[in-house]
Amino acid sequence: MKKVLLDAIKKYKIQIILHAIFIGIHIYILTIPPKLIGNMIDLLYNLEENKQAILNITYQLLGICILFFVVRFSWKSLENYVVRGTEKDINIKLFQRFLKLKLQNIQNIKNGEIMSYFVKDVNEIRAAIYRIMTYGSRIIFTFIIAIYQMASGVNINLTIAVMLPIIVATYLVIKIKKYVETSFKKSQDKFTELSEYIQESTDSIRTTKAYACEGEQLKEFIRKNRIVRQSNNAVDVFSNLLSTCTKMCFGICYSISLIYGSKLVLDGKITIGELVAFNGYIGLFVNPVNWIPELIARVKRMQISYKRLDAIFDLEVEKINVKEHIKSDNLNGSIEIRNLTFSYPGSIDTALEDINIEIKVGQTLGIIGTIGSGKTTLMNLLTRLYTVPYGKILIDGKDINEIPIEVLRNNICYVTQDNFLFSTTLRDNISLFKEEYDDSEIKESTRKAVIYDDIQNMPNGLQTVIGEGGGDLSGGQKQRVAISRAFLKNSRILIFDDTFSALDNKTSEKLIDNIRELTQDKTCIIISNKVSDVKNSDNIIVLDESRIVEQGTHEELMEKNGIYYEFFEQQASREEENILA
Amino acid sequence: MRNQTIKRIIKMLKPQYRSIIIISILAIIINLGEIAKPYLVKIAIDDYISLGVWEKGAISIGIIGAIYIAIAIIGEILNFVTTTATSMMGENVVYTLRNKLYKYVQHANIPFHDKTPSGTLFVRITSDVEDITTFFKDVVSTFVKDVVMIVALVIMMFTLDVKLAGICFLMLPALAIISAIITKISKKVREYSKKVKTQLNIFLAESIYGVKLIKIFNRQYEKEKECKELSIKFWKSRRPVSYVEAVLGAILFFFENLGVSIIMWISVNKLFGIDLEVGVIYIFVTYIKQIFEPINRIMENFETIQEATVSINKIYDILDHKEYLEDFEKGIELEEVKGKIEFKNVWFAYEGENWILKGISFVVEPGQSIALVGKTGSGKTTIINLINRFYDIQKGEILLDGINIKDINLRSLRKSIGVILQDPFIFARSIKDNIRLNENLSDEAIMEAVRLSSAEDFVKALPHGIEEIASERGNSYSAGEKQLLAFARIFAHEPKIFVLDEATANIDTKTEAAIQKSIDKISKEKTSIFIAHRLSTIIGVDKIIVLYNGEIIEQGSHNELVNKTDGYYSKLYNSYYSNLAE
Repeated sequence: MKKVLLDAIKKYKIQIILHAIFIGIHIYILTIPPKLIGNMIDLLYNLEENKQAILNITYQLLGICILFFVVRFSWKSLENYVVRGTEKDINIKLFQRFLKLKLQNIQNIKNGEIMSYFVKDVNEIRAAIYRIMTYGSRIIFTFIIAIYQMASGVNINLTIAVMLPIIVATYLVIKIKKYVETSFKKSQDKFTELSEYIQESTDSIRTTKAYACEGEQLKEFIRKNRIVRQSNNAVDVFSNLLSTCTKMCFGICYSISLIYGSKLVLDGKITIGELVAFNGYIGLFVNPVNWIPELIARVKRMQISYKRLDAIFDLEVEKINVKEHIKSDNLNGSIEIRNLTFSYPGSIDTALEDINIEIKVGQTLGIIGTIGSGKTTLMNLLTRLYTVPYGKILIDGKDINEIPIEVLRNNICYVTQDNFLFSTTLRDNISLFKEEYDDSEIKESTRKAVIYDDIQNMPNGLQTVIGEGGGDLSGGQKQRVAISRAFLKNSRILIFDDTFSALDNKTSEKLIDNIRELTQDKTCIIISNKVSDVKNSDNIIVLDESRIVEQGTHEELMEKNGIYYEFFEQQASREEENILA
Repeated sequence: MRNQTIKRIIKMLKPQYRSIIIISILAIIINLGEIAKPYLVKIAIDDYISLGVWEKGAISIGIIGAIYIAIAIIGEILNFVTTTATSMMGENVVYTLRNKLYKYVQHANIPFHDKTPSGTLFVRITSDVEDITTFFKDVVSTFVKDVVMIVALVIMMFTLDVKLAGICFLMLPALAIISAIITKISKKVREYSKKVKTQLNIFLAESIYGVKLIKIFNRQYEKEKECKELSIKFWKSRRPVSYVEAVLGAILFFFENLGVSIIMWISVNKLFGIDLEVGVIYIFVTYIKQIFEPINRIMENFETIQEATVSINKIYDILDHKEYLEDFEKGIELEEVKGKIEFKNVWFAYEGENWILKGISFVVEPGQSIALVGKTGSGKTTIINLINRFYDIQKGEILLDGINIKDINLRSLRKSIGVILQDPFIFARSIKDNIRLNENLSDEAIMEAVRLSSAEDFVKALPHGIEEIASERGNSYSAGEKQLLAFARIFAHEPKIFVLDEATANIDTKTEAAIQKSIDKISKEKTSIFIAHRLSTIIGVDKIIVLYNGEIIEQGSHNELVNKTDGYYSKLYNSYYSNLAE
């Protein structure tokens, strides 16, 4: 993370320096109008003589407006360039990093949480950089330039007298801002609590009604709502106090300048015009004083986000080459698993225990087992989504860790059980954004996956966008779209992880026939809960609680009269019982 | 703004009218102070400094300065009071509104909830109400003050010099038009940028969700490319936003200085016969600067007002429909429920003439159990939704212990019926509270219910037992475990009538045995109605009612029905056994 930020600073250093220079000029320009107005006021006392001089000053006044426009435009553009550019860089780097992270390390983080790294934390850092760059330099330049103008242009004693309340204001603002922040945090938390309660209430309305407890639900809601009101009020009180304090301090500033300044004028130390200009300078401090606590709060919040992102950048990554065209050695596809035992990092329970499997090229392995028996874990190891111990899994007789990840995955097509589709065209969903496939190849793969007709019936065929008009696919259709990928990719090893669950018997039979044809000379693994999906495999293993408990062909296993047989019986009877429903 | 909307806003504000009056008066006082401040400086300049005197009569510059300090301090204190009072008033209004809405949602009947997605209700109670809060804090709290300020400044300027004031105000329309144009452009470019941002976020969310897919198909390169393209697109989309911001700031700066220049030109050239004291020029310059702030704010607030009116209308479009509300007050309170249920020629349609139930009649005696059997859509679920009056029937009558359920107090009716749905709702509260459901029950009573429902093993395995807090919607529990908890609810509340929609989902054998035990126990002592999927349940009941297309085609005990040649039920039953034998 540190490197990402340093890179950004290095990359944009010229823009950052220019930005600071322009801000300096900007602040300097802001001090000109009060000075000019002061001059004009002095000149007004001798109007007849100074008429032309006053008019000249008004031209200057309008002239600096043009200069101001140029300067403001410049630093605003630079600011946008640097701040949003850095945001972009962090975003891209974080995304690249995320794609390389080992799956086992991010599996337990909720998707929403990962999303918040991109949306919330990157944004937090962006907001802080913006404030440091713009507010920070404006605060510094205002204090330097305005004080210089006040002290050298008007009177140093008056400047000191006026600066005292401003410093007090700054101090108070920083103090009170802390309370604003904490009370704001609290009120947000309370509101979240209330929101969650509302969400639950609207979802549970039938249960609430069935038990006739609307009244109690309402009572609880009012209680929570009252707390929200209370905490919101606290925020209001503190933030109003904040603005009151600053305004009061500035009011005092102006009165000091009125009394002490008038005296100085009467003593002939300064002119009326200078006094008027001086009042104008005081006004320049109003915004910077309010920005200081804002800046501090932002930097604090940024630190939290920085740490969170840093933690992501510290996670272990896969050793993988990300390239457009992967030069791929073809594997043959024989798989051997020897005494494999695996447990998740930080967990004492084993997810897989003492697994021994051998699949020769051209063979199909069926895996059957209950939820949580370790089927998917095994596949995640085969694709090296998880770290595989050495000497346990061999492909073509070679340890899987010796095969570059990108080559391995290019030779395996793993159709997962969650049939996730991107909200893009069906074509992109099948080719997965590779442009090298032509339409006829893709169509052929959909035909093999028994989804061709369904797609033809959609208004835009392969160009139908998922989720848009006509693009609502049923679970079964989604599964078949995912399976199309396997026919298209045509790799040496194919894995189907519970991908037929939403299909009716006729469709799944046809599909399994096509798969058999495809995988004749390839290695194939079919995972399922249903006996009918795996019964024609060359070898079937039954997984139960992380172990292989039975192994053999369908006939062998049926004869054993064990778990497999039980599965078969249960499924047969469940299928029939549903007739009654 | 529609007339109706204004009425609705007035309705919301009416209870607060006292605060509004006080706030307005205070706002006037505060603004007078604000305006007086530069005037004090003017006096100091014209009457004292220009003449070279420190004091004139009894009043010195020191006293003027003291008055200035007093105004600054008192004004700010009053300001603090008013702004705080206004925001509290705003909080009160939305607090009341939120309570009203929630109450409505709780009391609205099931047809209302059928047609209104819960997500919509959620948005109404949260973000729509929030829009109104913003409306109060940003608009109502400043609006009165800003208007008073503008009016007061205008009056002041005209009293000081009519002609100069008139000329200065000629500038305002120009400013208004220009900033309206810029605001419009700004909105457009911001919206575009927001759209790109949404695109980027959708891309990220999908990539996060589909990361496994991306990995196993080696598509990192393609996705990184897409991420870069979208990020750069967003970066570029921010460019016009910063340009607009730059221009807006520059234009305000220009107008301020233009105002000053105009005043100077006029006074220097003594145009239109205007000849001013230096102090008046000072005060004009200051007022011109002062007047920009409230004008800008009022223009900015237009958008907030629009958003708020939309939200107000959306909220009242719900609240004004009283016909969906259920009445919990009227009706007969049931003393002791025996549990006899009778359907007499019941006709029901969710809408129009689309009859779901067509003349259903049956009787369940106290303590009897029945099973409703039939295909999906035959009307089984509808029947149980009618018993507790989730819906009202169109024709016929439903009687509980001989009383028409329409005449029974709703709360009392529902409390006497215990329903377990296929996927029972589990609240994100403790197991205890989930069983108790806001009723006052002792821990012992709850433990007893847990024991009776055979949920003891499950509950005891939880780290904190009945104090364990369930995750959102009980997501960490299986369908079977959720059903067990629902059974515990029944045992704890002891309704006289028990309704169960049997789960079709996979339930492990151990849990299934526990559930079966509970079913047996309950159906022994209560009137029970099952939507049955399992043969074991069906065979065990006193009466089977076979539904087909909203009509009862057969009813009777298992033995009666199974022996009926050509009966629907006997066909089902026989095909089941022939399948088993195959």
